[in-house]
Amino acid sequence: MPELGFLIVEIAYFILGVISVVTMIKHWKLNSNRMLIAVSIYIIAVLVRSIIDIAIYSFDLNIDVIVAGGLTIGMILGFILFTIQLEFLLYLKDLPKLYTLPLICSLYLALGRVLVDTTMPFIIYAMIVSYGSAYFLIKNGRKSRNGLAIGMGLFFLIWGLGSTFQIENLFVILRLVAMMTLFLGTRGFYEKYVFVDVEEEQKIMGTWIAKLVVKD
Amino acid sequence: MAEDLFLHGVQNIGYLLNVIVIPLATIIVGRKLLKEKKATGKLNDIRASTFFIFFSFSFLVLLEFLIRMEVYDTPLLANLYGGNYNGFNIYSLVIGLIASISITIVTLANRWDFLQYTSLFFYGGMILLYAFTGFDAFLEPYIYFAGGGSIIFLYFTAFRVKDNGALAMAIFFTLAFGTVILDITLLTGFSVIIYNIVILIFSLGWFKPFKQEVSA
Repeated sequence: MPELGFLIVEIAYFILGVISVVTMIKHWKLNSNRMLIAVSIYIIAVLVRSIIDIAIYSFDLNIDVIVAGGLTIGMILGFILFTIQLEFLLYLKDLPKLYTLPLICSLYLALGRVLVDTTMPFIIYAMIVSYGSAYFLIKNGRKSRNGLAIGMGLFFLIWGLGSTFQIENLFVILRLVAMMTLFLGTRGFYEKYVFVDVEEEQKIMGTWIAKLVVKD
Repeated sequence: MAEDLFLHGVQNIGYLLNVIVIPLATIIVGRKLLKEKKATGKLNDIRASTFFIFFSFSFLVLLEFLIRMEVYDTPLLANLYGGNYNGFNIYSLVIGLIASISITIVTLANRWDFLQYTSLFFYGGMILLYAFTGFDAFLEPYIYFAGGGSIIFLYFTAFRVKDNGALAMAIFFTLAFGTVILDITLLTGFSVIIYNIVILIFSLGWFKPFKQEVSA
């Protein structure tokens, strides 16, 4: 009964997402960082999709209902998420002139899906959006030592991998792993255990060398 | 007979004027653009957009001249040129591009940053969709909509911010799109002559109905 397994994974994914959003909103109330609210909005959109997925696994619903041509409801939901994801990235990059681009891209890709029965453009779009966002966030997160950005970047990267392969089992598991990486980002895990504090390390090194010298 | 000769004469004068005045205006606007770029180190977006409109229009009128005056009228070129906007051909492609850039000028003049490239994205998407699926049903309504919309907004902008450039472009577009939409020989012939005069006056910097321009 694979549906039960999917349901458990989806519920875990949902709970992790809710905890992450609550943590981010708490932080946002303290420091009014706009990135926190932008990430929260995106995760809320992801969670709305998750509620639909929970309903699908619980009641055995079918969202592969064809709207027109090869366009299904599931694909429309995917387009909405990728639009929000790209908007989020453009917002972070402070590119207001490109704000309408994600909407137009999704509109034409959806139309293309109605006209031609191929998922290739959708997969390419998903890859560009996910890997592009991941690269930007991980690069900037490393530079600014921002754990949340790293978490978000890993989330996009792992989710992007799931979207690329289009294998349901793999996608569901990778989504959970992605949410875990984001969850760790909101809890300050990367700041604590991943980023090496150069000054602190030099201090330790200095003491260690000093001890060696004294011993000698 | 005499009437036909007269109409034919007016049309030919229009074609000749187009071939001389539009490229000349393009060169004048291009020189001004480069001069300003050298002086300020920045590219003026509105002037650059105007230059691209003139450049595209020059390309179109030169091509039309070669075909209509039977200077270089090969079946392949005539077929590629098309001369209508019912489907994608060189003519409709350039007219669509001009309409899109004119919408860009409106957004630039009004400082609607987030809408700045929307028309270009939308049009680019339309071309890509056509390239991959052969779907071109949006083209004709888009040309009417973008052309008409840009004319209305250019007049609106011109009177709101007392902008001579916007007014000149509005008059030019009214006459140019008028010739595209209304295919009445006499009217078209005179419209072509008038817009050439307007364009020449504008590009030389003599078009100043608003003595004191007010910035937005």
